[in-house]
Amino acid sequence: MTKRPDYQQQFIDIIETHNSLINKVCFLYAADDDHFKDLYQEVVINLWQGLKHFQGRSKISTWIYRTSINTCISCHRRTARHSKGRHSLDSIINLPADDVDTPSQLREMYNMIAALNDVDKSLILMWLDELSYEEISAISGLSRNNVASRLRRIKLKLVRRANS
Amino acid sequence: MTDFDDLKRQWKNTSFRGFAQSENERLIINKILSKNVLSTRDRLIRNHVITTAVCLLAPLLLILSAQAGIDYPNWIKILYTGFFVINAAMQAYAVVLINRTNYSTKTVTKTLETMLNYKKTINRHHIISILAGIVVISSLIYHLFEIHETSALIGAWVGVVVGGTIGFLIRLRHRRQINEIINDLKEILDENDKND
Repeated sequence: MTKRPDYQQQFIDIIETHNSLINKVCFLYAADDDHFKDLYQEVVINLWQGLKHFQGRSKISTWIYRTSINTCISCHRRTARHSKGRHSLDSIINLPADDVDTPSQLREMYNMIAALNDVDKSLILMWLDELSYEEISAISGLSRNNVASRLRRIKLKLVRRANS
Repeated sequence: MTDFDDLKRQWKNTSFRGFAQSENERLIINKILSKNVLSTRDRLIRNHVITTAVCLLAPLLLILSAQAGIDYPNWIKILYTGFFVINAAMQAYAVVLINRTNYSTKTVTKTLETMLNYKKTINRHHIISILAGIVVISSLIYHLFEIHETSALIGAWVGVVVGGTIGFLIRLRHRRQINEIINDLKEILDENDKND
């Protein structure tokens, strides 16, 4: 087997360590599983091209969030009539089940989150991953106060949709 | 499911295994490392560069046309050449705009702003090209009509209809994308000012 150059191995190690993070971002922005695969490839290409400019001034996970979210919001989305629908994304996630109803409730919640606009989606994703408001502010470019008020509004929106 | 602490816990416990238990993911990574795989951004740049080159070569068609016996008056040649040179400049500027996007270092809102700037610029270029193109094509068609070049005239009209339809559909798509980004950004930037 040919030995990879160190920087390639470093890249593979980074992707393998943070693969779940990349999958989560692509999952929320994908319209269906073909779109998910396209987004995943785009994100990995942009991470590979961005690795040489990454100077370690932020955490690797912050860099990956930023690149992944920016890639997903920049990629052209297919129109709804060509999409297979988000149900085809079921193979990508393994939902935990405390009871019989949990998986379908979670799926419904993830679909409602996926229906938010691009910026709100990124905020709720980072909040679910327990990033601090300061980290979310640094990645999104919004002020800390704006992040807090937007997250409050997003949660209210989700509650209203869940109860309607 | 409106308990958000519970949602956070469930999110943490959800396994995102990607597609086909990471086998396809490994194939993608290997492909990217071993070949020069282009991203969507790279392909966009390549398309603009190719269009720039085509625009710079288009005036040579006047020479071919003259050799085929259809010579245009000087004012049409100047109009035609100017149209393609301006288009080439606009395409080159689009490349400059795309190069300003850096997904690794820009924040999400900055990326959206850069995208919006790019799309608005392209939209403006389309409008300028369409208006200028109408003038240039009308001049060409008028001259072909004057010299009774029927076959070339038919070809020109077919080009106008086909090109116009394609251009119109592309413009519609651009307008939709611009409106989506504007909606995303407007609310956020207004709130950013209020909450600071």
